[in-house]
Amino acid sequence: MKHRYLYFFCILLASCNPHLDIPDLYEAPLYIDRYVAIGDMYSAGTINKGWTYDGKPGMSEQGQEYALAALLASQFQQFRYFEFTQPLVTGTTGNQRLAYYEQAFCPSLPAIDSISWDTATVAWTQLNWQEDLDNLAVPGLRMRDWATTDPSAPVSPIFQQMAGSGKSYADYLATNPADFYTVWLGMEDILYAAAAGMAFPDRKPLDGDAFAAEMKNLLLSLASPDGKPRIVVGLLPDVTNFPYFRKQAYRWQENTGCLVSFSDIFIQTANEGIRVATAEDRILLPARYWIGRIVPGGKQGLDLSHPVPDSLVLDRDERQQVQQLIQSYNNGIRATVESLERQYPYTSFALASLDPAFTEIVEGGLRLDGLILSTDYLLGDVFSLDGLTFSPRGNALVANLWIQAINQTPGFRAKVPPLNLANYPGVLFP
Amino acid sequence: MLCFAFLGAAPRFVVAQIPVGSVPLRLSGGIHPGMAGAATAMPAGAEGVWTNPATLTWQPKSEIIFGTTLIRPATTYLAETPSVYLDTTFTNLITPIYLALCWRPGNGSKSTKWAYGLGINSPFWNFTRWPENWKGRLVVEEYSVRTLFVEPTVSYRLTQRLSIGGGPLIALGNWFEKKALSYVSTSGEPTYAEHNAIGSGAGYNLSLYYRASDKIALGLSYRSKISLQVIRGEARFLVPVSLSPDFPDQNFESVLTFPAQLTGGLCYMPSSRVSLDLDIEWLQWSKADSTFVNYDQQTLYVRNRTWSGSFQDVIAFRMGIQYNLSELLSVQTGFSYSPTPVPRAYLSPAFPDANRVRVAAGLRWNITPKISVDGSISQEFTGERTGFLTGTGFGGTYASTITALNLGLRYGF
Repeated sequence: MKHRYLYFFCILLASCNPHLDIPDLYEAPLYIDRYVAIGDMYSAGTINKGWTYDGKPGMSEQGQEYALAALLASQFQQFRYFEFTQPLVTGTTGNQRLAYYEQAFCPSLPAIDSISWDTATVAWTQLNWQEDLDNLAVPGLRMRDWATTDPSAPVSPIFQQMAGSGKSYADYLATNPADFYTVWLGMEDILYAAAAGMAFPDRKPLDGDAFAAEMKNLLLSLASPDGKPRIVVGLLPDVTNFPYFRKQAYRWQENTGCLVSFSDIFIQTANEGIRVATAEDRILLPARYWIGRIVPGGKQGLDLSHPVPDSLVLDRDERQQVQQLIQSYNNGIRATVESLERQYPYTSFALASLDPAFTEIVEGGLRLDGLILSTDYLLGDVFSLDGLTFSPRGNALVANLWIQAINQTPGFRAKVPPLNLANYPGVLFP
Repeated sequence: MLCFAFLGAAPRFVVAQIPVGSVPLRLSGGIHPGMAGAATAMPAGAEGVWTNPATLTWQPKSEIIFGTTLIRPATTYLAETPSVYLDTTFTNLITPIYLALCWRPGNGSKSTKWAYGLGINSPFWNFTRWPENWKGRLVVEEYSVRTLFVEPTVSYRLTQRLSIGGGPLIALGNWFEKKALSYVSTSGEPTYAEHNAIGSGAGYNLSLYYRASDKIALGLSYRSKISLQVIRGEARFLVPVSLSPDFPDQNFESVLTFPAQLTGGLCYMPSSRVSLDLDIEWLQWSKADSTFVNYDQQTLYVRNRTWSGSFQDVIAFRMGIQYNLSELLSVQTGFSYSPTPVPRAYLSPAFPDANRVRVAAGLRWNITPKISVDGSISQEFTGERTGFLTGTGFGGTYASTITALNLGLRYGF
């Protein structure tokens, strides 16, 4: 009798895993023949860039593996496989690395970190791709020069390697038709000026109307009256909340043992001359190595005669200016997409925004899958060492927000599964 | 040392899970596991130590039972749509043992009003282990609760119909939790936190048994709340070298609480062959839902915490039937329904509880008048339940089963 029970139990052992129905992936599929990503460093996979904002270093195979466009492609490929080729950089063109990190002994003190530089193992000019590329995002690409053919002002050195010289980005796009596009441009227009404290007149970004006009031209070149391309256009987040623009750094902290004292930081502003920094100003991340150095007659940044230069500060007026610019760019994107939707009823558009998730990240932390995502430098999990580009985990989060936008846009009729954030690293600690 | 001020950073605690993590299993014993645990108003032999100590005086002879239960818990997780992520816990067989002794001085002669009992079992046991790379690994990867209760009881017959029983509950327990940490090292090694604790606690049980007639009996049993105070708690962290000063391996204090249970039972015996028992049980989970973790050495990351799971008191139902086929063989079957105390906002992958339904069947084979073999099988399952764990941003749908095979021996003397 007993062995019968055992036999019965064995059947139960094999059969009694609780059952849950997996939703049918193909109930609302997204079939793509060719996906082309159009964008700047935020789509290309730039990570741990340099402090100097020159659009060059920061490309590495590791970064590209987790590029926003590559992560999106990997989710789309679940429905039906298609090639998605990236201009892979073997080695690095120069990346930052967290070389040292130590939590201060006193709980009230900040951690000590040290960023070192991995020098380039590959030169831009050596880069060469024979195959057709699908991730056409170019680090350093700005909306303002997407159509330029001026060889003296190339879009970006990496673009020349991708497309050859004498071609505008617009020309290059025309030879790369696809049925699915992501477009995220404008961030580098803003950052080219803002990451240098709006200090250089020649880096002045396009105004809102000019940006909208260029965006319209770009989108017009993709939409076609007969075909049915699907286009996801990204709105711009408030970049002044990125950790590069340091929120809590407006006072200088000096530590003697566990005693902390604060002193004012003097900044050179655009409109108000030299003044003491306030909580509304943003001291830029590179200034951490500049402020406090002893110079004849004082310390850099800590007295009236040695203010932090305008290029290392985004003062409150400049910050407001940047925020208004971002808003006008976003208004331009929205208006353009709305008008094109009417003009091209067969082209599906989706607008992808990082908000409201990004607002939560800025305002104290977004909790997801056991993570606490914030704009904290190094520990916030969202941004890489440069404080501007996203960490792989940050890219996965952005990809999920884009996927959410696709899923919520009726025209796409798709339900794309999101990425699992725990699988993607934040900052790597030594 | 000169640095920027770094104020108001988001909190980044090492969040240990809510360590409230097992429902009473009711799988130790010879007969009542086959009746889905329903035996509060039925003299069931030595296992009355657990079901209702007052019934021990109705035991004609002394007896001892012992055995083991093979328990296989399993949980399946499905992420929120549109995700198609599905994972299942590892299949592990847990094998708590049990032993119960009923000693009737004078061998149950009518003049003896006393009976003494001793029970050793594991009334609470939980084992949840998710795959290493599963989606919720930053919330929990492995969580287990093991207990060992020792219950000496005494039972006394007050009148011809009424008896009382009770005794202290002495409990030992072990609680283990492992979760991955979000920090990633340049070397690519996994990072995680482990909390391992051994605790002890004490409580009591009190019970009544009233034989209203030949056919009707009533039982009432109260088992107090038990809080296991951690005797030794060890926290171990594996993190990148640069972060290791902030994650010192160390000891911690904590408490693990199991709820008080008040059970009322009604037994109907239409003939000498058939006993039907109906139990209604109140579990005071609202007083067993909070805990704390106090570390010896707090750091910026490793912080003391307190939790409350906002659990609700619940009322569970059980029904069981025993049928004596012959002198040699009796069979049992039963059914129980236990609502979950866990609200949807505290549904943790460590303890993804839901309303539970159990069906059970068992038999006792009396090989000789003194020696019997017990066997029972039960299957408990929950429906699908969707919820999230407040504070972690982790949610999804869970379904669980517990399959159990109980094997034991009885020796009467």
